[in-house]
Amino acid sequence: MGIFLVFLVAYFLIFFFQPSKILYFYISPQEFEFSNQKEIFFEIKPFSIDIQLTDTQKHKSHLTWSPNKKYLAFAERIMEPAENPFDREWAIKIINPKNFRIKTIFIGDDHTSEHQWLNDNTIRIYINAGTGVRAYRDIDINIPEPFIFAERKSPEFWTPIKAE
Amino acid sequence: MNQIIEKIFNKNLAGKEFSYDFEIKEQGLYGIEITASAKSRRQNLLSLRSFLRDSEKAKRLKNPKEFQLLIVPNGREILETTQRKCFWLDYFSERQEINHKKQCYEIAKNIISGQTENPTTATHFHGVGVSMDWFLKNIVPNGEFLRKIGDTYFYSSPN
Repeated sequence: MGIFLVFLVAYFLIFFFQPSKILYFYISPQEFEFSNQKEIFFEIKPFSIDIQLTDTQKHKSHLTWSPNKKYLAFAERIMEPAENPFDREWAIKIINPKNFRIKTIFIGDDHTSEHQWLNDNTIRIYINAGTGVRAYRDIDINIPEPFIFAERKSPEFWTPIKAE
Repeated sequence: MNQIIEKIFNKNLAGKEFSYDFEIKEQGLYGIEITASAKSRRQNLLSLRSFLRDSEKAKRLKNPKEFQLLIVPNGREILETTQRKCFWLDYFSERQEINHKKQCYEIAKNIISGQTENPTTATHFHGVGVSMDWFLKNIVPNGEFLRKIGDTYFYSSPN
């Protein structure tokens, strides 16, 4: 019984400080083709128990851990109704693996290009801005409300860079 | 075939170049009939005879090369010795220009949104999130702003 308790506490501590060692998140199906049937699952290691986390029936991609492996980010094609078509096409969402809550930090239109972790708390989101140019916006994952592209299109909200 | 325009100039060109601008509503195949009179060698000798303006007589000229019709649609020269010519008019009327701008805008939007590749490096435009000053300085330093259509800014550039 004592060994079991020690194991349980150790397991919980690992989960608390390094959830990526306990939980393996993945998008399924993993085929490259574009599909609205992609959902996020996680596997509880080492028990090989797979649990479905999302059930939105929307396309999802680019599921990546933060540098400190405490959060995950992914893009979802939400296609929400908007004043102009495709104003709310893509969302960048954060998963907190400790409580499995999903939070939206960005909603973009069809200009949305990609996102990448800058540090443990910041995600850089790129938009296609024209010929030979992209623009980015750095977003704190603790932002209380999602940054909505359609409401902040002006240059002061974005930093342009030459496309590679 | 419907007649769109009829214009009588009653003008003595006397070897001078003459141009007449007209507008069409849409692209298509049009017939243009130009009637003129000219003087043959014999008629030149009798230059005071005014009846030579009769087009029927012009058709009976012994040397039809003595008059030539220069038609310039869309910058292309058509030098003809005949009196009738059908050709394809492909320049833009005002309405077509608007449609052309819409097409450009749609193409630009699709390129920006990543739905298609930019077919030419000679095309320059940007959408939201970029200022005109930045684009002129960094992307088309020798270019100039053309126009804004919707959220998209178009530029010309020699680069």
